[in-house]
Amino acid sequence: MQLTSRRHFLGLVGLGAAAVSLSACSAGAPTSNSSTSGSAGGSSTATLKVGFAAIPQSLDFTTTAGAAIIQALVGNVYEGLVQLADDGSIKPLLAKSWKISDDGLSYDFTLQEGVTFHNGTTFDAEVVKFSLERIPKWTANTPGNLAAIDHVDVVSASEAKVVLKQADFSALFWLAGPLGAMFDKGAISALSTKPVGTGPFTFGSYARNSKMILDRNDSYWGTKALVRTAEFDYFADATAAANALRSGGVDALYQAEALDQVASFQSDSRFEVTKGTTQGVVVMSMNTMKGLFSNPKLRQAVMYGVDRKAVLAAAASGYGTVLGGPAVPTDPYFVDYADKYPFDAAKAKQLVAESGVTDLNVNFTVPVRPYAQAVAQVAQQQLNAIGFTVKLVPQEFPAVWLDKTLTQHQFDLTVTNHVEPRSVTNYANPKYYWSYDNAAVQKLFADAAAAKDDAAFVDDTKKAVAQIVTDAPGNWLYNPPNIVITRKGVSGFSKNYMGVGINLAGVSAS
Amino acid sequence: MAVNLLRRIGIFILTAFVASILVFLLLSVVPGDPARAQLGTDASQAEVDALQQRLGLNRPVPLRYLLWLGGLLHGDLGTSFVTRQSVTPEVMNALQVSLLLVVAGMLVAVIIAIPLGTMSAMRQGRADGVVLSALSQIGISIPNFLMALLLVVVLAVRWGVAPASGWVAPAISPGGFLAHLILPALALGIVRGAILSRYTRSAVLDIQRDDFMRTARAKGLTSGRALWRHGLRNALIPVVTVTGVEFSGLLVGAVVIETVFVIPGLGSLLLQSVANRDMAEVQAVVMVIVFMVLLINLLVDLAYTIIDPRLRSAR
Amino acid sequence: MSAPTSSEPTSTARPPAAAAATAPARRGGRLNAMLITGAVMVGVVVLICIVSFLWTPMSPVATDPIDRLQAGSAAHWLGTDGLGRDVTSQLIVGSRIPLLVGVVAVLIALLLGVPWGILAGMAGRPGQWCMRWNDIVQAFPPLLLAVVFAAVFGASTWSAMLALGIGFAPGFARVTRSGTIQVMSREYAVAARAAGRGPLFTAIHHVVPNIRSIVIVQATVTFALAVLSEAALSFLGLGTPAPTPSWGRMLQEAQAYIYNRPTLILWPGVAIAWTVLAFNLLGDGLRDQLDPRMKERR
Repeated sequence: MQLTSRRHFLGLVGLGAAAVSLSACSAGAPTSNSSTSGSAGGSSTATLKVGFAAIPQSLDFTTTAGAAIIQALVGNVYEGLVQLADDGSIKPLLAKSWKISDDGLSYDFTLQEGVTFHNGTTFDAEVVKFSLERIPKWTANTPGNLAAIDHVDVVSASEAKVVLKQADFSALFWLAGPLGAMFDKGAISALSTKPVGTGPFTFGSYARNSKMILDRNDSYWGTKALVRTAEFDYFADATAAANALRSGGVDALYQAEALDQVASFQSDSRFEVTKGTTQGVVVMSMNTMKGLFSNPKLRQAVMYGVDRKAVLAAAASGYGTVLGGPAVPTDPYFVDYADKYPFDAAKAKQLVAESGVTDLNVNFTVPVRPYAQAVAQVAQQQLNAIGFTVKLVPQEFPAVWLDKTLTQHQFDLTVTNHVEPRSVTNYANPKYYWSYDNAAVQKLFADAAAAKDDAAFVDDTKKAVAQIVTDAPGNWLYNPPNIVITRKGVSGFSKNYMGVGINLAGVSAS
Repeated sequence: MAVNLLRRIGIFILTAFVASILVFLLLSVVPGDPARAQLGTDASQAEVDALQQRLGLNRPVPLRYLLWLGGLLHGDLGTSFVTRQSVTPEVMNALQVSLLLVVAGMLVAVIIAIPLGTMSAMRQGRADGVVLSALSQIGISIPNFLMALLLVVVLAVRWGVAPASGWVAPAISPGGFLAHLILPALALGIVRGAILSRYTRSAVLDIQRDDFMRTARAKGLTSGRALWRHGLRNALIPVVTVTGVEFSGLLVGAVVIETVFVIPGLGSLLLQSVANRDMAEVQAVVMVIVFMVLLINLLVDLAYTIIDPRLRSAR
Repeated sequence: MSAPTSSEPTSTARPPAAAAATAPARRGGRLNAMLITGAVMVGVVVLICIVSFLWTPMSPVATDPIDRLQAGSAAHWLGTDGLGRDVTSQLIVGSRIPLLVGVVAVLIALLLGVPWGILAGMAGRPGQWCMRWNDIVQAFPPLLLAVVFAAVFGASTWSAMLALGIGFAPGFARVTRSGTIQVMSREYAVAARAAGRGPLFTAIHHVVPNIRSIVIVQATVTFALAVLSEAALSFLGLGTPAPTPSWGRMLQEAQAYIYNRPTLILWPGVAIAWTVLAFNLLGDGLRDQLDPRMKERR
C-alpha cells in the first residue's frame, strides 16, 4: 500500500474547472523524453530548487512506503520500460515499442540501445529480467499490482518478453510506475543510500528531512536535463515552504499546501500558479465488518450527513474537486457521483432512525495531518448533528495510524488520502482496512483485468465503481489539487501529478 | 583542586550513566510494534519476526540496554527503525547545526542583556529604568516561536532582509551561513536576552551595594565610572555562569525554533523521528541532548570554581 | 524552551548574584505595584476561564467552513478561523488547557519536589546524594520530557501535565532544600531536636511553615513556565489534541493564515504572553513581598 506521507493534501482546482479535459492538460507538459538524444538541454548551469512537503524516509522504495521517494527518483534517476504521460496515456521510455499477444499473456518489448546506468553498466534484456522478476521481493509500494508477471524471457540483448500468469489489462500502467523501475544488479545492495538508474539525473546526495540533490546526467541517452542541478527541499510545514518561496529560498513549490496563500501568489507578478489534479482520493472510510458501520443504513447516513463542499472549503480552502465515488477525474472510468448522495441532514437523521441502532458512538481515528484534522472536525460536527456521538482519536501518521487503523482495523471511521493511482482496486481486496467484501465487485475487477481492449476495461471498472458507491464503504470527499507555484522564469513542470515521479528534466530555470 | 576535579568528573560519569538508563527505559516502552509499523499491512508474521530479529528487538531488555550502552561508548548511537542504518552521522550533523544555532542565540542574548541589564540597574527607580525593566518582563513572556513567526513575516517576507528558512553549512558558504543564521539566532536570542538582562541587572545592583564600590565612589569616581572600573568585571562573573547555564535552555529552545525555520538540527530530527515513531532515533537524540546538558553543567561548575576562588570551599 | 528558567539558575552551583536576584526587591511601594498588577492580570485570566464554563458568545467548536476566515463583525467579534469557528469563543475556552496544565503540572512538581527537598535538607550529608538524583532529572529539560512522553504515550493533556510536572520538580527540590538547611540551623529547630522531637515533627512544625513563602514564589514562576511550555507543545502538535481549543494550537493553526488573517496569530499570542507576564509579575511581587520576612528569620 502507498499512502501519502505528506503533512496535508489539500485540494485546488475550483469546482468549475474540476473536470479537466483529458487531452487539454497534456499540452505544454514535458511528456516524453524518449526521442533520440537531443541537444536542446544540457548546456544550462542553472540550479533548480523545488520545495516539497512529503519527506522521503529512505531512498529504497522497494522496502519503504511513501510517495515522496518515488516522486523524487522515478523518472529522474530511475526509468522504466514505459512511462505515463500527463493525460494518462502510456508512452515509450526504455522500451522503444512493444507488442501484446492476443491472449494478453505475453508482452514483447523492444529496448532502447546504447543506454547505460549511471555506474556504466549496460542496460539490456537481462536487466529487464532481473528487475521485473525481483518485484515479488518488494515489501512496499504494492508489489501485488504486478503479481500477474510470471517470468521474463531474454529473447536477445534488445528484446525482452514478459510472460504473465493471467491477463492483466493494467500491467502496462503499473510498469509505468515505480514497480517498473529498472535496477542494476550490481547496485542493488546500496538501494537505500546510492540509487543508480538510467535517468536524466544522477543521484547526488540526500540529507534526510532536509534536501536531496540530483545532478544532470551528461551522458544521458535521451534529451538531457535543462538544469545542471536539481534540489528537492523538504518542508514539513506548508507555511514555511511558502515563506521560502517568497523570500527566494526555493524556485518553486510542487503540490503546494499553503492553499490559503494561493490567491496572494496569484496576484503577485513575481510568481506563477498552475492548478492541476492529483491521483489522490481523500476518503472517510468506514469499518464495514465490525461495529455500527456494518449497518448499511448508517453508512448511507454518513453519505448524506456530511457536506462535502463544506469539508472541501475547510480542508482545502475550496480548491480541489468534490468527489462522491472512489475514482478521480483523470481515471478513464471516472463517473461524477458528487450528486449521488447530496447533503441532506434530514434524510440522514431518518436513516439513522431506520437503522434501529441505539449505540451511536463513533470511534473516528484521525491521522495527525492538517487536512485530516480539518476534515475530522467538520465531519464531527455534522455527524453529531444527525445523531451520532463522534469521538476523535488523533493518531500520528504514518506510524500509529498504519498500526492501529490500517493493520489492526481498530476504528469505526477514519480519514486518509489515498495518493496512489487507481486506488479503486483496493475495494477488490476484502482484507483491506475497510473490510469491504462484495463478490460481484471482485468479479467485475477480475473481468476488467482480463479485458481485451480499453472499452471493456473501462466498462467493467465503471460497473464495479457503481456498485461500490451504492454499498458506500467510505465517503469519498475530494480529489486534492496539484498546485505548482513557481517564480517567474521557471517553467516546464507537468501540470497534473499522475502518482509516479515528478520529472524535472524538462524544467528550465533562468 | 585535582581531587575536586576528579570527584566532579566521577559524579558526572555516574549521572550520565543513570540518565542513560532512564532514557532507555522510557523509550523501550513503546506503544505498538516498530517492526509491524514499518512493514505495513502486507507483511506476514514471518517478515515481522525477521525484522524484529534484525533490529534486535527480540532480545531481553537488559541485554539490549547493554548493547546500546556499549555502542554509545564506541560512538555508535544506534540503528534507525526506519532507515535501518546507523543514526550516528545524522545525529552528529544535527548536533553541530544546533550547537552553532545555540552559540549564535547566546551571542544575541548577551549583546542584548548586558547593556539592557546594566542600564536598567543604573537607572533603578527612574522612569526609563522602569521602562527597561518592563521591556525585559514583556520579552520574557513572549513565546519564542511567536517571535520567530513575527521575524519571518516582517524581516524575511515583507522586507526581504534575510532568508525565511533553511540552513547553509559554514564550510559551503560563510555568507550564506550567516544570512540563514540571523533570524533564528534573533528569535532564540531576544527572549533569552530578556531573561539574562534580569540577571545582569541584579548582579549590577548587588555590586553597587558592595563595599569596594562605595569606596570607589567615596574616592570621587562617578557612579558610572566606578561601575565600569570595578563593578562590571565582577558582575560579569555570575553573568558568565548564568550564560553557561542558559545553554541548556537554548538547546531546548532551539527545538521549537528549528521547526519554524526548517533548520536540520536536533529539534527537527527529534520531531521527525517522533512523527515516524522511530524510537531508536528519538532515543539517540534525547540521549545526546541530555548528555550535552550534563556536560555543560559540569563545565560551568568547573569554570566557576576556577573563576571565583571563594566558591571552592563552598561545596 | 524560551522561558525564564525561573529566577533560579538551573545549575547546582548557585552564583551569589543569582541568589541576589531578589535584591532589587526591597524598594518599598513599587514592589506592591508589581504584586498588584500581577494579581489583577492573573485575576483576569482566571475570570475568563470561569466564564468559559458558564457562557461563550458561540460554541467554540461549531465549524462553519463556508464562513471561514471572516473579519470581526457583530456576529463574530474577533472573526472566524480556518474552519469557520468563532475566534472569541475559542479564545475564551482556550484558557482552560493552559491553566489546567499549569495547575496540575505545578502540583505534581510540588508534591514530588518539596518532600524530596525537605528530605535532602534534613538528611545532612546524605542529602547531597538526594540532590544527585535531582541533577539527573534536571538533565531532562521539561519540554524535552514532554516531547518524549508524547512520543511514547501519545500526545494528550495528561502526558503533557505529567511530563512538565516531573520536569519542574527538581526546581522545587532545590529551593526547598536550601530553605530547609537554613531552617535547620536555627535555634528552634536545634532545640526541637534536642527535645527529642522526631524529624517528622520538625519537618511539619518548623520546616514547612518557614519555607512556605519560597515554595509559593517558585510555584508562581513555574506556573508561567508551564503555560509557555504547554503553548510550545501545542504549537509542535504534541499537546492537547483537537477539537479541544487551546491557545497554543490556535497559534499553530493560525500560521497557515498569516497572510490572510494575521490577527488570528495576534490574539492567542497576546493571551499567552499576558498570562505568562501575569504569573511572572505575581511571582516577582510575591518574592519582594515575602523576602524581607525570610531575611529577618535568617
